[in-house]
Amino acid sequence: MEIKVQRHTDLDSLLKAAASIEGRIFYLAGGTDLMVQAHAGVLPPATWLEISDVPQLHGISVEGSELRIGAGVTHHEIMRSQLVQTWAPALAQASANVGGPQIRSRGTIGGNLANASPVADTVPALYSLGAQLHLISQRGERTVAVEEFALAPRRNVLEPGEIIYSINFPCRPGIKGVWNSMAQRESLAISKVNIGVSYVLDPELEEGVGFNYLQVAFGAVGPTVLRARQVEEYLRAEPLSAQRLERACQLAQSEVSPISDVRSQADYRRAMAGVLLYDALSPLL
Amino acid sequence: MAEKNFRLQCTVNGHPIDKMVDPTARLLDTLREELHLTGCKEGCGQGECGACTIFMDGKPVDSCLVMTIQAQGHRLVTIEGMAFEGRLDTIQQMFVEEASVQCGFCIPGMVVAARALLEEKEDPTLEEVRYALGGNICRCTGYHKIFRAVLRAAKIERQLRLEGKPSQLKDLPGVHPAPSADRL
Repeated sequence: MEIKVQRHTDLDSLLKAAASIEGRIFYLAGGTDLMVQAHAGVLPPATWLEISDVPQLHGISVEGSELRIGAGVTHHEIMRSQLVQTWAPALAQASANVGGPQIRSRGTIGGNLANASPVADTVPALYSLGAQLHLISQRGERTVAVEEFALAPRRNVLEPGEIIYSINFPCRPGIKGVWNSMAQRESLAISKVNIGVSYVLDPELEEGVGFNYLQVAFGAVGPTVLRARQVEEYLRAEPLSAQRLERACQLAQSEVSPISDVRSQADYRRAMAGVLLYDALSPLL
Repeated sequence: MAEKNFRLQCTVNGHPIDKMVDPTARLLDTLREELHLTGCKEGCGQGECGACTIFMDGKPVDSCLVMTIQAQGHRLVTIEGMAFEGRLDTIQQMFVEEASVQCGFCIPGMVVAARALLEEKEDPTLEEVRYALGGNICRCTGYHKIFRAVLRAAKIERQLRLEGKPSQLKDLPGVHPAPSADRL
């Protein structure tokens, strides 16, 4: 397969090239998916734009009351970031479990999103945090909620010439989070089902555990990552109890819509979605 | 065969490289075929096995997943940069002493990944060693002797540091012959 490649080290030149190239474009950052597919010879002819050294796509910072993560930030940088550990603990755990060390050194959060895989490990964490994606092209910038981004497996809302610029979410004081997955082995395994939970406990509550904020999302149990809205509403309504958590796990099992494939079976995935929710929240009981 | 129409400028094992190469080749192939650094191996070619692990800017990466053009301006270290002329990295020495090698194909990647761990953490637990080597697959050894070698290397380097000595066995005066400067 013939590949044409251009290396860009500046956002303006990248967006200009992206706007003017005719035909298909692949944006090469971490390469952890694209390079495998290229070597297997399954990709159509395209112009490749190498973007891993575009400085505007890097950096983790707090801007106002938002945490901003550049789309080109690697999983290794995310898992080690004090800011992410503080403001997005579910994401820090997710990134620490992507692939193995070599994959985390290269793979980026923008790539994990743009791939629009329903199994992408960081995405349930981003759903739970209510992330907003800043997209950019030569025509300008726009913002979409992370839940609006993936349309179906391998399909997203990016328009020609448009890339993910950054991932932003509000810094919520007291935020806690859990990310977990079921997979064949601990490293380098694609999840059978994964979960991201972020919450802020209600400090006013005198007895028991209540939530001021709670968002739950599952991956690999639908065509895109999905929010478990019934579970959230149910758990937010009243203080947590063993009984209510068990009921929430049943709700989770009915809310997901998994399929059977090479990695697992629908029934097992459904059952494990409940188990993952139980494991995530039972330490609060 | 794609054209060698790209001028690659980077450093490999501390030496500046300035060479016309195919920018679309995998870095693994450029290292092996153009620079003749055959220590990194191709196992799976999919980022699953870690046999092609090298350091890029101090971090372990699978060189089969890096396009050559992405190395422009970056700092690469391969297994060849970790020892020369019989002066082994502490980790390599412990692999020898613990008999951690059977067929040997995975070992360059294992050593690089283990070195990446010890650069970050001087007192790793067994669990941390397993996590750090999670991206490397070995089909012979069953891993136990590999883990043991890494833990022992960490212990030796800790001890050397406590004694105020260079932290690597190979840097102790008189232990090994001097390195030859002309090796990559």
